[in-house]
Amino acid sequence: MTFISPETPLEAAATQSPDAIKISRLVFSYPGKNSAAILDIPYWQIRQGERIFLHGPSGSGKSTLLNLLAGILTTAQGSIEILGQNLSALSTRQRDRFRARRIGIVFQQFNLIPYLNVFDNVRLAAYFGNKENTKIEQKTLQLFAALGLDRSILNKQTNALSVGQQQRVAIARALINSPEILIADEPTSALDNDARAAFMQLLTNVCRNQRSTLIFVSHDTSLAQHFQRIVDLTTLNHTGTAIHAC
Amino acid sequence: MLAKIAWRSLRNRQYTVLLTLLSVAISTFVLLGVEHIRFEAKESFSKTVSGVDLIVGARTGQLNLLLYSVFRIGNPTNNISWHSYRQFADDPKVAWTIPISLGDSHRGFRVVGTTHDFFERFRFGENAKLDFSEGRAFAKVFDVVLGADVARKLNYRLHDTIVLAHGLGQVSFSLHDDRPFTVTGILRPTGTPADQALYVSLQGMEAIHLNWRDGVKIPGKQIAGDDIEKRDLTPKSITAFMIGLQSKMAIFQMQRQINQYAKEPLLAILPGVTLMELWEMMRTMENTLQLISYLVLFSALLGLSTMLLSSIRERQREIAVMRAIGASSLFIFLLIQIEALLIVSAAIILAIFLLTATLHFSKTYLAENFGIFINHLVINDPIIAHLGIIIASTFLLGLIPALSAYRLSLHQGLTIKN
Repeated sequence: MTFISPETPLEAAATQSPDAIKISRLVFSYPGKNSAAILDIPYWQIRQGERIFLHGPSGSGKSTLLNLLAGILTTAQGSIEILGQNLSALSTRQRDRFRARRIGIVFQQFNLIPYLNVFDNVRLAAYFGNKENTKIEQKTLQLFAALGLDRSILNKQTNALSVGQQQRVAIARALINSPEILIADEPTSALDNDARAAFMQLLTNVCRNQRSTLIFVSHDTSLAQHFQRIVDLTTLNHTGTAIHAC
Repeated sequence: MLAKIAWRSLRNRQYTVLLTLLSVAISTFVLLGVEHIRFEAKESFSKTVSGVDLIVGARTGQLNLLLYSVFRIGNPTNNISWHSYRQFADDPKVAWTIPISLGDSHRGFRVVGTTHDFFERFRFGENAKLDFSEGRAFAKVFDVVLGADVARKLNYRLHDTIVLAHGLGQVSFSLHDDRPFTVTGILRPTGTPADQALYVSLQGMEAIHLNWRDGVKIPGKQIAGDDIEKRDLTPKSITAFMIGLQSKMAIFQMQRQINQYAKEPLLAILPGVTLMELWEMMRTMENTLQLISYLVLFSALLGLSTMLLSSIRERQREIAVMRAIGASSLFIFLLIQIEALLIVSAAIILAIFLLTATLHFSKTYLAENFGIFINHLVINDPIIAHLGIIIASTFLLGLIPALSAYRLSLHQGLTIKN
């Protein structure tokens, strides 16, 4: 099994050992007239290295939560600490930089920028994370090997890849800056059953080796078997109950 | 990195980008073309004559006199009698004169009857004197000196003999074929209408018209070659003359004196002042042309902005992905702006290339037909200023799609609507 530079997350964990995610008294609503709270999370904590399966029906506030965790949305009420850093305390620019370096994100599908080739997609993420250019190719190849990708696809156009390959390249790109947290938003929904199982295996392994915290969002509860901890957003989020109580 | 991504992104949409680029290039071509010709025409017109204090001709419009005497455009209304010319030429205030006699041509080029003073006294550009690249000034009655373009275009050398035609048509049916002229000199190129003419002595001009009356050859009346030299070849009239004065102080006095001359209606003009009046008259037209070319450019840039704006819709996902891997909204904004600037820069380069090529091939035509001498090198100060305006407008109109992408990247977040 390829071993992928675990120094940074390990050191971080050893010296300060902060929680990967700590949410307290979070209430979020979009600005505007229809300002009903979308999220109301009194407390939620994820330790570093945990692999979480987060599920919930559509409309339960999943994408809002992901935007908050990624630092694209901010909240005025309550706090979100990622790796010990309160996101609201950072400027927009600092949050973008923080996301580039310390959080990897993989979407459902079409993760890759179509007009850049495979390697340039990865290189772009490294560029946003301010990584030195020299080590990127080596790191990419290590990740490719761990994800079962052939190095020959490095210079291919992304549309020449199968969906499964595209999703694995997306994971390699998300992990290029060795982020402590990987957020995957239904990354298997475009895959067939066999590919899905293999994909889950690779994802789990690569996260374990990188000591990355994995937050895996999906409808598909059959995937829950791959995870240590399963979280239902409807129980985590109190908005529904609050509204009913009124 | 930003530029590389912008470039790849444009290549990915090459057909729409190419069409947009072409429309911007064409409008830039129009704008730069109008501006360049305007600038060069002004330069070339003001370079055409210098060091001449007054130009005198039969009474007509000031512009008409200037155009036919210097630019060889249009026709004189009447001639000046030799007697009147001599009277002013002998005035003590006058240092020198250049008489000009027009009316004949050679294969589309005008023939100017004049004296040696033309080669000695006439100045163009920054006080430059006419110069011979080959041979020397006319000495005998049937000698002719060629302007540089005439020699080049018609491929004439020294000692060639040519026949002048009566009138100014490209093809003439009444030729002075009984009196051929011999080329004794070819002038160095000046970039002024002086290149576009043939020069003979006033005596030569007179000699070929001895057996003519009212513009028609008198049938059967032939004068033997030897006889001609013996005859009095002093012209009875000339078309116009240029005056250099002893002192610039006397210009207005001399002008008044000529304009009030009782024996013949004459007009004296100051070439510099009349040139300025000419530009004043042209200004409205120039401004209109400039306005139109800017409107054309504006519409092309709007097209560019529209193209980019509609592409933002297709690029929602791409923007979300970039945001997810850490791109700031500013990065997205700059990406769109750089795409706009890349298209416009490419369009400018294409337009300059096209314009240079077009001018290179049409400059002889412009010179021969309009007396405008254009340098085909397009880059000069006013053009650079216009390029600055184009780039700045691109940036301003690029704000529309760029801000739209910026807002999208802020609000859309990581959510992608499929």
